[in-house]
Order: sequence, then structure tokens, then C-alpha cells
Amino acid sequence: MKQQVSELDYLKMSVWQKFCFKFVSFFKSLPLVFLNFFKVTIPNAAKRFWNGLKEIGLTIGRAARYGDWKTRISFVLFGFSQLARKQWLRGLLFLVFEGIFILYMALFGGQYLGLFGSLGKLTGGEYEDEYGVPHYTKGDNSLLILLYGLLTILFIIFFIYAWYRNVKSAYNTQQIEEAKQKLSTAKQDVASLLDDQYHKTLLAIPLAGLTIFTIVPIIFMVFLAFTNYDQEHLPPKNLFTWIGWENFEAVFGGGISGASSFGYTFAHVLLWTVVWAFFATFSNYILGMIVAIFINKKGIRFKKLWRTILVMTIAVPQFVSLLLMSQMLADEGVINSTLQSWGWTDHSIKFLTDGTLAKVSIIVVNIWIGIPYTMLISTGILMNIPEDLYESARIDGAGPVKAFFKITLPYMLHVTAPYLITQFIGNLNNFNVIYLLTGGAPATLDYAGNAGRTDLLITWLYKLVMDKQLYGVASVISILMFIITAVVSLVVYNRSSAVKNEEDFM
Amino acid sequence: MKKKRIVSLVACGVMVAGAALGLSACKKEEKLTIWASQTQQQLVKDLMQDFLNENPDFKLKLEYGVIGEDNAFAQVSKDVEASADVFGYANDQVMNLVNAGALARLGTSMVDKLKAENEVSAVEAGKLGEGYYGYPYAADNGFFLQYDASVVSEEQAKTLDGVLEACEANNKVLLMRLEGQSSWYIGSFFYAAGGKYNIDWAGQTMAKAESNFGDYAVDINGETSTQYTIGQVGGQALVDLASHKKGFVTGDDSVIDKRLDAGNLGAVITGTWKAKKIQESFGDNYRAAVMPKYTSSLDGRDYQIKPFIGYKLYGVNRNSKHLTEAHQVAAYLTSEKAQQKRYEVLGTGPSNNAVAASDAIKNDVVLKVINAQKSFSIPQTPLPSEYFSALDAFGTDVYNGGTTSANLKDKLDKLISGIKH
Repeated sequence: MKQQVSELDYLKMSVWQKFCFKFVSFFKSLPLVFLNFFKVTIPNAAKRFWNGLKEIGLTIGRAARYGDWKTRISFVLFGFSQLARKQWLRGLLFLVFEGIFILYMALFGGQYLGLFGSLGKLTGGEYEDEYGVPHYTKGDNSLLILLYGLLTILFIIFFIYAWYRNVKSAYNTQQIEEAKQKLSTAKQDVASLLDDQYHKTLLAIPLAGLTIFTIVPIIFMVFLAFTNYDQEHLPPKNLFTWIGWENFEAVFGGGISGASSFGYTFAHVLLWTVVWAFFATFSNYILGMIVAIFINKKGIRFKKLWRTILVMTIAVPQFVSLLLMSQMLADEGVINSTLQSWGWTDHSIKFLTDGTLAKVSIIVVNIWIGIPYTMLISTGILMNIPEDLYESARIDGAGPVKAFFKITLPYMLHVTAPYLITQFIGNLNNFNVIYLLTGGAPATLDYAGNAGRTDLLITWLYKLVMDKQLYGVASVISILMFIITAVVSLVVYNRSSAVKNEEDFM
Repeated sequence: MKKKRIVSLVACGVMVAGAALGLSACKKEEKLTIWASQTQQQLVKDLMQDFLNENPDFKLKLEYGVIGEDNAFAQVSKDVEASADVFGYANDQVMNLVNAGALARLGTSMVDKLKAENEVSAVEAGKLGEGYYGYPYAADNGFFLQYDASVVSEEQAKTLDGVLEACEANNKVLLMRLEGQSSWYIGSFFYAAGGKYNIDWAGQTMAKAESNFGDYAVDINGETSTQYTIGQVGGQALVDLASHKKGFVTGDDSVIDKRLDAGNLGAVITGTWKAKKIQESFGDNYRAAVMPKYTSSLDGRDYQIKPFIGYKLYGVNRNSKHLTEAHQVAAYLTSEKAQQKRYEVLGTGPSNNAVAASDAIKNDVVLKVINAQKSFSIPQTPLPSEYFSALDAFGTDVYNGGTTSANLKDKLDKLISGIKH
């Protein structure tokens, strides 16, 4: 990025001006980052994707054009070319996979794929037996159709990929044979999995896990956002179906200005979520660092004792301390009754029941449980800062404050930027603190969908799903949350000095 | 190097195989699951033992789960098909449970039998549309005034102002839930002025509730106000109540316990389940009374606070593999014999007419009041969650001082549209 001021001008600024300048230039550069993303990153990715596709097409074309009859039969009958050339293991694996696929589609996947477009047609029936007692028959289960349909589609995509690998491998064996080279034996194939192909062996399990436990649920959730899966359409009794963009309209259709609409609620809850994440992250970070510096100072005695005392709060499970805090801060809790018995106040202070005060209380409580973690991390890093840096600074006449801002803070920021980012993202989705302290309370008539004044998007989501069964709308909100967290972490992480000046580390 | 690789692979293989073994270890057995609240666990087990003795042909293995009646829907909605065959629920969840496909309808002959043996409104509590979905066993899910006779006199207990006055004079407090999940209680202030809600059964799916809080108020003598609406009278009464900083506190059950321990509770408006604990604390001075009336500060007329009366039922999961047996078990758990035993062991107010007619219940301090209150109580029928969340939010706002006499009208508009939403 081009500097808008010369270096000399920049150096002339006061500390405050420099901070403002950096702050402004960061946000000024943001549009550029996005522009860059759309002008460079996306076209590049598209180009790579297109080239990949072209390569696939060319490979298949070559195999079709120059392949002998064995290779050409492989187009339909998986592994034929390899089997015909006595590469038993490979050929058999391909053939068995094709067999499994056909069996799966015929016995299981086909019916779900057929219903995928409507998500089920048959609702459960009811008939009365001879005593007049109703019995029930099962209908289609939209949720299962959506899930198995999705799995079937993914399986088909994998099948197409396997077909491509099969054709490529078939032609490959033909070429090797034509070149009069020796084909690898089954034993060699297995051995290569433990040798030059070892990365594939090792990655297979994590990749499968990632697909099953992360990617499939995300795609499933995205699909849910386009269905009317809610209280009125709960499977297995009722069917739900595709409704296009209606859930998105429900969230934004009312506009963000009309009180007690979803849009208004979303905007306000999002605002508080961001405010909370900002304060929760930076208050912990800065205060934790200050505590660590105090303990690290020369001349402080019983260093280990202080550290142990602070770390004790980590030893208590977080949810226990949070529940205790919520009890203590309640209108009838220990703190209020103590204050009243001392005569400091004649009525309860609404620490957790007044909208604004509750927000402050939450951040303060979070400081209390968060500081020890930052203190621990900072202690390690602080002890690593070379002492000679401080010595030379002192000789040059720098005071402790200057040394902090010139040496300690840059060093800390450089090392802990990724940690800060994960903390910020974690706080955007910090379910525990809010749910256990206030549960989103106090409730308000201004918000829709049960949201309260201290609800974060994630706790609101929980209410939408658990209390209101608005799965479709909740999916829309979680998609938006995913986009927000992804964009924030990518942009900030890529612009952090830890990434930009990786070699600069002292 | 190679050895290490093989070892790591074997380790992975063992892990996967272990998981697979764990999954296949789940054996299938013909069984029937019953969910009941923690307090009822032992009772249900005892009752089922009697049942097995009476029905030696019953071959299913019985299993029990601890799920409170208030939590039935939250649990069932997670996976209807994996839920218990028979479970207890509070009747306000009937709509959600039926919509989730969790409840089997009762046969017409069974409904007739239940109506003959039980309080009719208890059977009706499990009704949705034209179908009946539960076997009632408790008709005591209500709240009333419980007070310390050394603080509040019988005469003072008849009006809300009297109770507050007595408490303030003795440096004690009246406790009722106003903030948080208070909808169940504060609705009664609106029903006092003639409030009603209508449920729109749009094709028997999810209902939308609509309140008449915008209509003119009706006082205790049946006279209709020409000036003030139900919402205004009820809302103003709540605002007035909240303004008693000295004599009134809000809080959930845990606050009641705390205040009882601290000994500064003069009166409590709460439910049946808390009666025992309060009785122990107040001792001989414990009194239970029907809900008091309040005098509106707007028009000076009297309005009788009308609490909800709710019921608890056993329902049968419509996805049960053993529907006939499940109906049999649910019917047994709510039979006259079972209700008699339930009253003796737990003090639950029965819905069965024969048990309710017994002298023991007629002289029961708490159930006497609940039954006396039934002449004006509002039977709690299924309500959509919007109703509760809107009233919760209104009560919280009143408590926080966000709603005052000045902006009451605006807030009431929001309340009315919130209920409808």
C-alpha cells in the first residue's frame, strides 16, 4: 500500500496522531483488500480451477482417442484395463468400488435422490384399530431425505472423480505397457503407500473426518437455510420443503429499522456481539499483560506465589465460576444483599437484569476469568524479550512507559497477533459466558425471536433452535455468522505483522 | 523409520476398530421407556411393579428416564423417534408436542372413560383441535397467596394493597416473579380485568394467539369501564406493584429459599410445589389463600386476580413401537389407584374425581385453596411460545423501570403485537 505521508511527516507526529493515522489507514486500506480479493484472488482461483478442468478433459480425451480396446472398456467397466494387464489389486479395487456404487444407488441412494427435489411427498397416516385406538403409519422423513440425498450427491461426485482416476490409470497402464516398462505389482503398490505415497495414507483418516464432521454438516446447514424446517414442519410427522430465499427475506425483509422485526433484532444483536468481542478481547489482553509485567518486575517478591494465585482461577471449571458469579450478582444475590446491609444502597443494583448494566457486568466478569490466561501467555513472552534492548533504551533515556510502547508492545503484538485473532473470533461466538451469566436476559419487546438485550448471535441462535424450532431462519443466521467470522479472521490475519513480516522476528 | 510408520498406522487402525466395535455393541431389545420427573421416579417404579404383578402377560422390559414434566418438549424435540414411549408433560406443551408428532391420540372410548372419572377440564387440557392427547393425573398446577399470619391478617390478605401494606409495616416483603420468566404469573393481572386470549387454529398447525388486551376493562362486579382498557388496568397494576421498592421483591424459587432463610418474607405468590418449604418456615403461622384482588390506581375499581390453573398428563409417543402397551401403561399411571398413591406420597392434587372427593384432600391446606380458586381460575390451554416471551419481556421491562405510567400505552401496543407475532 502506498503511504500517503512521507516518512518524515510520520515521524513528526505525536504518539496519538500516529495511532490515529494507523487506525485510519487500516480502514482506508480495507476496500483495497476487498478489491484485491475480487480482482486478483478470485480470478486466479477461477483460472486455476479452469486449468484443472481443462487438464481433466484433455486426459479423458487422450484416453478415448489413443486408448486400445482394453482402455476403452475401462470407461464403462472400472479397472478392466488394469485387470487385463494383470495389475490385479488396482483393477479389483476399481471394480469393487463400481460395484458398491451401483448397489448403493439401486438399494439406497436412488430413492433418496429421487425425493431430494421435493423432500418427501408422503405424510404419515392414521388408522383406528377395532377398539377405536388410533395407530400411525410412517411417511417420508424430510430431514433424512435431505441428509441422505446430500450424502448421495457427494458420493456421486466422488464416483465421477473415481471414474476419472480410473480412466487416467487405465490409459497410464497402457502407456507403460507400450513403453515396454514393468507395471508395478500389487505388492509394490501397497509398499508405495507406506513409502512415497505415505502422505496419502496418513491424510486419509483426517480428511475423511473433516469431510464427515465438518464439511457435510456445513453443506447440510446451508441447505437447511433454503427450507421451511420450523415448528409447523417438524419431521417425522410433517414434511418440509424447499422455499428458496424466503428465510433470507424473513431475516432482512422487515428491514433493519422496524422494531421487533428479525432484521432489527439481527442488526442490534450483531452490534452488541461485535462490541462485546472487542472489549472482551482487548480488556483481557491489555490487563493480562499489565499484570504479567507487574509480576515480572525486578524487586517484586514471591513471584511464583502471585502467579499461582492467579492461575488458581483456571483450575476452577469456567462454568462453575460463571454460575457462581451469576448467583452472586443476581438482584437477590450476595453482593446486593451485602451492599444493602452495609447501607450503601437501599435497593438492589440490577447487575444482570438492567440491559446496559448487564452488558458492563458481563465484560467485567469476563475480565476476571480471562486475565490469568493472557497473563500466562505474556509471562513466557516477556521473559523472552532480550534484556539488552531495555538496557540500551534506558541508556538512551527512555522511561518505562516509552520502553513499553516501543519494545514490549510491538514485540507482544508481533508474537500474539494470531492469538488475538482467535480470541476475537472465539469471543464473537462465546456461548458460555453469556448463556451462563444472563442467558441473554433481560428480555425486551423490541427484539423478535426471543432475543434479549445481552444475547450474542450464537446464544440467540440457540434460542431460535431450542425454544422456537426456527431451524431455517437459524441456518440463515449461522451462515451470516460464518461469513462474518471468516472475513474478519482472513482480513485481519493476513494483515497482521506476524504474517506480513515473518522474517522480521527479532 | 518404516517401523514407526507401521506402528502409527496400526494405532490408527485400532482406534477405528474400537469405535466400530462400540457402535455394534448396542443390542436391540424389546423395551418400553417411561420418562417421569425426579420427584416421581420412585413412585412410578413402585406403580409399575404393581402393574407387572397385575399383568403377568406384559413382556416388555421397562426402562426409566428422569425428565421433568416442564421439560418434556425440550427433550422430545431433540429426537422424537428416540424419545420415551410414555412421558409426563405439563399441558401448556400440548400444542408443541402434537406438532412435533410426539403424541398419540386417545381412542374415543378412552376419552369418554377419562371424562367420567376425572375433572373434565383436566381431560380437556390435553385437547388439541378435535383430538385428545393425554391421560391427566394432576390438577394442581396453579399459584396462590401464601402468607405469614403474624405479618398479614386474613382481612389484609384479600387485597394486594393490604398484603403490601402489612409487609411494609412489618419490614417484610411480598415476593412474586415479575422479571425473567414471569409470564405465567403476570398474565393473571390482565385476566383480572377481563383479559382473554384467542387461539387461531389455522388448519390445526401452529396456532397464533391473539389477546383482547385492547378492549375495555371489566371489574370485579362485571361493570365495563368506558375509559380504560384491559391492558392499561393490568399493566398499571404491575407498574404500581413494581413501585413498592420496600415491600415487594421479584425472584425465582431460589430467591424464595434465600428470603425464607433470611426470615424477611411476609407473603409469597407462588405455586403448589413450593408450599411444603414455605409451610416449614412459617410453621403454625402458615396460611394459604386465594389470589387477592387489586384496586386499580386508574379508576379506583377492584379487580380479582385470576391465576392460571394447569394440569399434568401422561402422553404416549406416537412413534412408539408398542403403542397398545404404552397406552396401557399411561392409563395405569393415571388410574384412581395411582392418583391416590401419588397424593399420599407426594401430595399431588389429583384430577380423579373419586380421589379428589376424599376427606384428606378436602382438608388439605393447599389443595383446598387451589380448588376454591377454580371458580375464577383460567384453565391454561396450549399457547404458542410468542405469548410467553412477550409477557416475559413486558414484566422484565416493568421491573427495570422501562415501562412507566407515562409510556404504558406504547409498551402495551408492543405487547399486544408481540403476542400476535
